[in-house]
Amino acid sequence: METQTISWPAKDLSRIPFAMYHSPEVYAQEQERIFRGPTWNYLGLEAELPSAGDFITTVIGDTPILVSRDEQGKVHALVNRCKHRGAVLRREACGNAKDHSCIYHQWRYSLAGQLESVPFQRGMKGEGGMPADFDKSKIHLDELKVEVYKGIIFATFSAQAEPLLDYLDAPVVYEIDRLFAKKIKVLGYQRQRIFGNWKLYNDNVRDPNHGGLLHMFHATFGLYRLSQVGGAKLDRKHRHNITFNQLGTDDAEANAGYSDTKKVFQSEYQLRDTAMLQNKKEFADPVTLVILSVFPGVVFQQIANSLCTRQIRTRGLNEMELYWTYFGYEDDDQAMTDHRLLQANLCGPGGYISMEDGEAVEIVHKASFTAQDQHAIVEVGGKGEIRDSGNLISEMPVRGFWSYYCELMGIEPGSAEMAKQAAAQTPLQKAAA
Amino acid sequence: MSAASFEASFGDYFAISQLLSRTVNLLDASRLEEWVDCFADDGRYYVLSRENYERKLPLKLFQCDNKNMMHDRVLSLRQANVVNIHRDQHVTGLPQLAKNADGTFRADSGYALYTTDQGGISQLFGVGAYMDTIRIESGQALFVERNVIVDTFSIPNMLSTPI
Ligand SMILES: [Fe+2]
Repeated sequence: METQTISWPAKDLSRIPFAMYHSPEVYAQEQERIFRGPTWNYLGLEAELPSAGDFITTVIGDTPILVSRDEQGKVHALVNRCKHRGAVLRREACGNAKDHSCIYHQWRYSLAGQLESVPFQRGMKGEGGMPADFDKSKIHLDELKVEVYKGIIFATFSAQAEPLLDYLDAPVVYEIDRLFAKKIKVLGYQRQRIFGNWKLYNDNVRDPNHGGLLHMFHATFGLYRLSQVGGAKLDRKHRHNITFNQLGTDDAEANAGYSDTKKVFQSEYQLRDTAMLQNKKEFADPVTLVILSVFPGVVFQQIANSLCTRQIRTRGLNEMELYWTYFGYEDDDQAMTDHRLLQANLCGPGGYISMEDGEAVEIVHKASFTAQDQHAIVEVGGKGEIRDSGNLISEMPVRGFWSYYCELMGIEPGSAEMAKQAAAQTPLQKAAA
Repeated sequence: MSAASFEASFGDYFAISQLLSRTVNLLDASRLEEWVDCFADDGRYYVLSRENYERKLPLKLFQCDNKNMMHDRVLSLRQANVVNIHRDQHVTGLPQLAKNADGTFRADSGYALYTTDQGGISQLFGVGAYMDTIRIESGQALFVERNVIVDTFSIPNMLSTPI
């Protein structure tokens, strides 16, 4: 198996093999062990399907999912694939329906996914149709286990998954409680198609260190600098991450850390219209930025008053889509809604402080392809034990992601066996020696 | 379009055509500071996805409620943002015109936008439609509002320069 030839020299995951972003075998295993494994996957928000019969279509990894609210108000997560010939059942992004029928042969399912009728089941005049022992009551769309917390819909393929709140763990639940304390309303969607492996985006959002170095808008206009009060918190398994920060808490001395960089911190530039940068205080705490990443594929965001979810949708080994759902609260007045919409300029594919992430993922994906026997260095914030960080100059949460990833994939980083493989030379290295 | 709604003189049509072509040519030449001058003092510029537009959701990709915000976009692109290194090439269709009650013109046209990388490889970045409100004063046409409806709303890599 391919994964066994990939070397993991560091037990503390301070070395990530580049091959992990490029191996088709690894990708296929991820679909099975991560996305169809004991993980909880974000599907959407209840506010997107408030009424009976409402549905949305989405994905978990590469698997198409139909989220359907039945007559009793229960939300079902169904594999969006007809049991007859495997066709996509619901082709629309969203809608409202009395049932779900496959266009191919009109097999009709209830909102809960139960097969209800097959045309010409008994044929005509005693000929054709389904055999006498065909029992439609035994046919149901593949159904996932759903848990809804604070209006956020999660699902899992695995009966072994721990309860959702145990999976999320207290620090993450705290942030969700904070962000979803009130009923929300959806303001719109954005999509960003990134030509890189999906894990590179997970690395990106678990790396607060890049925020003030890549996203120069932040630094240039003072919104987020590495010198501000902030940090990174992790759950007990280190698989999720909360990066947080407070505006306006840095000073000239702290900014001296930028002295050997070009262009990053430029106090001479000012925006002509700063309305977008204002934070209208709405939370009890002083935190103005939260990037909450939940394993394996969703991010919850507060950037001042701009709130959204970002779903990571895999699109094969070399491509992913970020699906952004922006929201405000039902009790927002028009001025607050307008402010959130204006502040949406900050993120998304055209966001002042996020547009570069697509490029960052793409250039790593591109150049690491030819270095599959080499490793990414993950040491910012320290080696060894994975723990919370008291400032933003850390990429430790990246190691946290990989530690749980390896657990699910059956990889033992730094083990004797792996170390032996690490020591083994590639044919090219042998030739050079 | 009804005959009654079409009262543009050749002079008006010429002024509008010049504005539409100048706008995209300035973008393609990366003369972004001058692109801002294609807007009236009270001008607005919005880029939004077809998805949100059709679902009547208010979220934009770019939202510039005034010219200062356009200047800020340009300033940030020049001084702060790190973009994928590329050149833009717009291909636009002929505008369909109608006259609004307040004397401004409504102009609808289509676009395709290709980007070319440093190795000379061009790719389609996206297609979509412009829905513009244009004012003509002393023979010069300027945008009061430009709405870019992006059909290719799964944005490849990033949206950096205006469309
Ligand atoms: Fe980023």
